[in-house]
Amino acid sequence: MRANYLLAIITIVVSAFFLVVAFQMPETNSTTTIGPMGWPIMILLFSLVMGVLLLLNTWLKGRKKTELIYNDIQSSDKNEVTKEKFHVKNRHFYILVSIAIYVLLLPILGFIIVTPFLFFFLAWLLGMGRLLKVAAITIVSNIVFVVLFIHLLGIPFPRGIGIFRSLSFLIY
Amino acid sequence: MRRNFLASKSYLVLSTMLLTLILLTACANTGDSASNEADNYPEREIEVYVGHGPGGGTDTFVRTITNQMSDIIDGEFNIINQEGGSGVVAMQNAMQQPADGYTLIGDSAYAVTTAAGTNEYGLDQVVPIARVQSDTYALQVKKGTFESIDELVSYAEANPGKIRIGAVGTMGIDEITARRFMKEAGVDMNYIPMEGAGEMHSGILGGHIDVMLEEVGPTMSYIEDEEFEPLVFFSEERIDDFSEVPTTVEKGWDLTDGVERYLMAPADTPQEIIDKLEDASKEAMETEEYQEYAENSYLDLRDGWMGSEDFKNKLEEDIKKYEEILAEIEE
Amino acid sequence: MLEGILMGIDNLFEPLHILILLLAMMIGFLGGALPGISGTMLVIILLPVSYGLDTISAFILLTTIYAASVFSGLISAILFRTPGTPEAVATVFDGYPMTEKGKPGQALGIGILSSATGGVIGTLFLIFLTPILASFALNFSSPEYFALAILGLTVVASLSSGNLIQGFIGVGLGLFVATIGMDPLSGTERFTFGTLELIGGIDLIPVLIGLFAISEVLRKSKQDHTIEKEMQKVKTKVFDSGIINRIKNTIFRSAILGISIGILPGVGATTAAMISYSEAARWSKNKDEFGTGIPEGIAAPEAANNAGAMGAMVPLLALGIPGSATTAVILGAFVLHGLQPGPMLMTDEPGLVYTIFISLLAVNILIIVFANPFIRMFSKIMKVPYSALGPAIIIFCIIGTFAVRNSVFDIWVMLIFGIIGYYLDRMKFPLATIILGVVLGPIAEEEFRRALQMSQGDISIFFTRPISGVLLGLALLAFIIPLVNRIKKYKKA
Repeated sequence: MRANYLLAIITIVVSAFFLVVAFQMPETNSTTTIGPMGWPIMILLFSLVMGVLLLLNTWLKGRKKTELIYNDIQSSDKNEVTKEKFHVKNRHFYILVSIAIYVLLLPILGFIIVTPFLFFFLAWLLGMGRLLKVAAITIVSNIVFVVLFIHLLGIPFPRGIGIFRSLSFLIY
Repeated sequence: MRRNFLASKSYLVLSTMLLTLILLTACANTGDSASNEADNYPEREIEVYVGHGPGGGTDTFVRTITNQMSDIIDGEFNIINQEGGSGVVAMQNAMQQPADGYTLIGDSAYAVTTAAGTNEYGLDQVVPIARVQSDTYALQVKKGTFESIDELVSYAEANPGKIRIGAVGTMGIDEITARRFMKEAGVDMNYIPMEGAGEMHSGILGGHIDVMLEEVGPTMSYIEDEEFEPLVFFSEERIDDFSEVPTTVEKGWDLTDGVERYLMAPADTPQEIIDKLEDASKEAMETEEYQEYAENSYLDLRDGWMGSEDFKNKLEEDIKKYEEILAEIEE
Repeated sequence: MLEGILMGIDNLFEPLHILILLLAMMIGFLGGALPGISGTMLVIILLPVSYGLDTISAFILLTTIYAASVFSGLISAILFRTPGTPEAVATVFDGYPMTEKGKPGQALGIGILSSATGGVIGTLFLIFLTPILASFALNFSSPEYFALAILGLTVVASLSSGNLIQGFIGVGLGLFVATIGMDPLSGTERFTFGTLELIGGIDLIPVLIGLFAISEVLRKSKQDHTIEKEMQKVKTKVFDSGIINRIKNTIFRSAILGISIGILPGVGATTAAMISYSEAARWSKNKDEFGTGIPEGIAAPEAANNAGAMGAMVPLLALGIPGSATTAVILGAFVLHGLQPGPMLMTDEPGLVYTIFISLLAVNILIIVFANPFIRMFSKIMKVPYSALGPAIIIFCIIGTFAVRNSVFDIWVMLIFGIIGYYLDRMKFPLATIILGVVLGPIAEEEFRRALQMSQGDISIFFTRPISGVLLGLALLAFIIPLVNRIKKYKKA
């Protein structure tokens, strides 16, 4: 239920924000009958109303039932953790962060370099085990990626800058 | 002990530091050595950024011409489609690459997007290699609706705003040309921006729009099948295969611009490479295969070739011209 | 026509052509199955390869890859919640839940049967009815497209799995996201805040992959993976008579719907899959079960997308007007091969056209033959521990997202929607409604404004034109009837 409150509030805030942006759009030449902001404004108003409705609805429901059932999903997840031999808490957070770092470094270091690192980190994080094994699988997988996507399909992945750029030309 | 370390936050920190170190090394080493490699050019794949969708006019042009060029200069081309903003997104991405001659741009809307301000790379930052195609616009209607351009114009004069004229896109060369036509002919028509050539053709076939601004290349099949009829061509001289169709100039309308298709490169690209590409594209244009393609698509109605220097000057003039036109339209 | 068909069969059964057909099927299967490689992409990439072939071989290659990839997108959608191709967008909704229930084999079997049947029906329509279908499609213009999109959007209620307000918020989000970028009708930038990347707008694929695949990886990473071992046996069963009985009506209806949508220029197999799923949900007696992993939920989109892909070839071959994104590339291929696409194509090059017809028929039939072994090979992947599979899926998602528009920005979009999807999933939010908004939003808005431009502001245009009026009437009914039913329920209680 808390989640619904949060969703409702986020919806209201975001819709309101973009509505303000929409209304502030200068009246540019619109060669069509309905200007570019007509439809977005309609959608945003609609979403705003829905957000408010959700808020009210959740509040009304909250008064009727007790909240035993809608407990934190997190607690049930934690019970499963103990069965595994290797487990880092809140892995999903690290996954997100590592992908974000990957995308940040991608234009700088180039695809060839960062991808193995990401793979290595994720594989280790998800419990692959001995580092040597992880490294081996990383190398094999990355060769597959490179052959498949770069040599066969010719997708132009970012090359990075400077020395990394030159390095990438050796491979593709 | 080892297990704990690997699971600990310190490992994360260490690896981040390692990555940062690499990052710093990269910064210190930016910039390729500027070696004169025009003689060995190309040593690897040349990427051509095309800011228009695959299968479209510009894309087909780039693929065809580079196909021929790759034999001539003994190199491989890799076409990268990046739609968005009528070529602006592709231009942006291409300009991020070093100007070593391995990044080119294929475009047809440069003058307009620069004049409109959406493209921020002026002719001091990007130069044309050559113009290869100069397409000719025409106004076409469904056969049987209007017999001549005069009929269309008089109808439009008598019924302002009623004729629906379609062209592809908004604020692009299509719309600008359509509006210039309306101004020159002194008529008020209802401009409908169509999603793409396909929708425009089906719009005419289905009677949803009355007239369209479209080259005859894509519609040749319909013309032969007697579904479409061109009423006027936007050129100075009559077209051979359409000798009964008048031109805009005959009618007293100063409108001969069409869609131009060309290759461009970042301005800092070594001049020798640009020259080499310019010559290659001219040779490619003169090959039999290219000529055949141009003929089939009616892209050879007028001389398309214009060299780097000449075309650069033309673009400068065009940009100024479109800036004025756009300002007028906005009123 | 009979002549043409015989000529087509004759052409196809030349050794070189058969070889190319089989090869193209494999390529299409593989590409479609891998998340991140779509049919459109494969056709673009293989265009240069097709130059070196004779015309007939070239087009057998390209069209077969298209047809095969539309099918195989479901594999990854069902097994990993990651659509292998955009056409499999709606297969995730019920396909993956069925896998979660421990029956991935059944899901795949249903997918195979529906795809093949839908494809064959579509191809038959293509072969025999192309001229008629093409002229029917010409009656569609902006008002009709708008009406169709609205009809599609009204189904948000059925997709909300009970949580109506959340569903509306979802569709609102989807609709809004679709408006970001340069407005095609006026050239103004909407909500771009000056960033260049946003001018291109937000693409469907990063949103789709983020919301479903990335969020799923995040969710799975919190789980204990020793449980996974039970799910590794994937036995596909295509001919299960019980299931067939249950879904046969869905397949036929969805195939017809798919073709109808596919023949419309500009709207392709992806939209066909989406609308078909929604309509199947709307008109079914057990609509609340949609989204929990029921056979109809897989049969509907898969029959529709294969039929729709065939339908998209109708305007292409009859009129030279592309019926979908992939067919637009194939149109370019015609030009590149020196052919003139347009109404004369069928009369000028009957050999080519009929060979394409026959080879498409062959591909769709062969799906049943080749799917099983292919899936058996592919599903050995399920035996791979998640510690290797997870990273591989993530990398494929990143690569695939990047490859759509060669854009690093899209990867960020994928990531952000991955986070959004993760949290929304936790509260059992109906993610499908967001996709509905993203897919149908642009069509609805653009065509609405274009239609009004055509009528010069006269809104009656939507009701005076017969097709548009009928569709809007249906949309209205579709909206009111459930409401009325609900009120009746209230009164009884």
